[in-house]
Amino acid sequence: MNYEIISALKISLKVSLISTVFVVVLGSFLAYIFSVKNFKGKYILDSLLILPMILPPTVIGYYLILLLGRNGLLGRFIYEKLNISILFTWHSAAIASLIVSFPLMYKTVKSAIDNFDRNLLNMSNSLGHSELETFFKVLLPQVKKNILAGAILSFTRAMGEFGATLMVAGNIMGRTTTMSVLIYSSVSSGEYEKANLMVLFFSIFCLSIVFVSVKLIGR
Amino acid sequence: MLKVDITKGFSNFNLDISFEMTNEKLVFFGGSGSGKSSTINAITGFLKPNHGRIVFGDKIFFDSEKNIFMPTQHRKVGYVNQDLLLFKNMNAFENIAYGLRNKKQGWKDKVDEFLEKFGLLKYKKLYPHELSGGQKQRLALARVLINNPSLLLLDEPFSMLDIKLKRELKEMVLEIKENLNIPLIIVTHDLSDAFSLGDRIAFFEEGKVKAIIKSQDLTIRLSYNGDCAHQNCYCNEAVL
Repeated sequence: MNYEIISALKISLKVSLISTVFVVVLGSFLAYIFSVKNFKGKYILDSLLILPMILPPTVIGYYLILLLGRNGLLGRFIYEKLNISILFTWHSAAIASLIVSFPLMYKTVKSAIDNFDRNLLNMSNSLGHSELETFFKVLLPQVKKNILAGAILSFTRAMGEFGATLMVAGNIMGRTTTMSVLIYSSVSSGEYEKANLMVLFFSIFCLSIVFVSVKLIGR
Repeated sequence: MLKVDITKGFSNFNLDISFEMTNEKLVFFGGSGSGKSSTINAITGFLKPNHGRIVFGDKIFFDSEKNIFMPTQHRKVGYVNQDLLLFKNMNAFENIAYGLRNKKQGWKDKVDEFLEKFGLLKYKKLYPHELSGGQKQRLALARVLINNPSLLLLDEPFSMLDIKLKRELKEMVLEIKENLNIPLIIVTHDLSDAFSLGDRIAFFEEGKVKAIIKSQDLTIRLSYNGDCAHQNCYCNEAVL
């Protein structure tokens, strides 16, 4: 394999793993809050959280440019405080992956918690355990397979992310070019041999992950 | 002494409950949707009433005027319902151990002692789905009792049991009450259970306690109206 493919693979894995770690923690936490708690504006916020699942990735990318650009709400703050520009770095690719893969994690875990017998949580409380203890000792063991399934789905989605990543991270070889972006640029420049190799690798890789996850979750 | 004086509005009915009890066995008797379980849920803290007070001894569980709502985990109320709510990811030992709030030195021996007392020691490594109905019932009771609750609430505990198991469990409940000397509330819609278990019976109807009558008085009264065989008939006679 040539340097470009290895570099793109490394960046894709780094971006996907980091975004998945954040997605698992954030997605599980918010799934619990939105499933168990009642508060004003819950349904609007819930809709916003799953919006990236149906929005075109280019739209998400555009929103991220508005947010993370040097004149954006968050981008300006970070640039002024840390003198760092987020756009066109692998960090922005990770943020794009996080946004697009988040709903998969959130929906998978939330539906598991929604279907969980709430009386078991009450019972744990009546036995003297706090909400936090109940979450870790009663709820988490029962939904861990769903969290694992959500994590795998989010990871594979992050690996395959293209549209939003291209908009916010661009195509800078060795810095931001991911596997998906490299496949696109290889096909654009007529390097079909390279594209074939990556497509084959990608297909086997994703198939292996799905196979392992089905085996793990099905146990 | 437990004092309950609460209201709670639901979409289909309103709960408006007022009663007091001492260290006795009080039975909540009434049909489905009469407010028995909602009252239990308010006492445990699973349900927050709209208005009123729930006071147990010197603890204020709920006071709408003072804006007090004590969380369930601080109430020290033992609760068992017909679904038993055993944790299926924990074996019998772990289920009982989970009921132990303070795990001091020797807690494992205490759990074993409870397993022995409830005839479950040889099943300690089995998970709830591997236990029989009676064993599950005993496990649910043991889990609640291991930490000496100050108040015990049993919500339809016998409804899923056959006659033999029901008799065994009733005897066990009465023995527990005798030993612990704490207030005991039992929810049932079976009048024979109400008679055999309660010192007094609270009759629930449409979200209200219509009457609280000593079981003894009710038995005497029923003996005068003994020709009526239907359970509901007994209930109506008693309330009227």
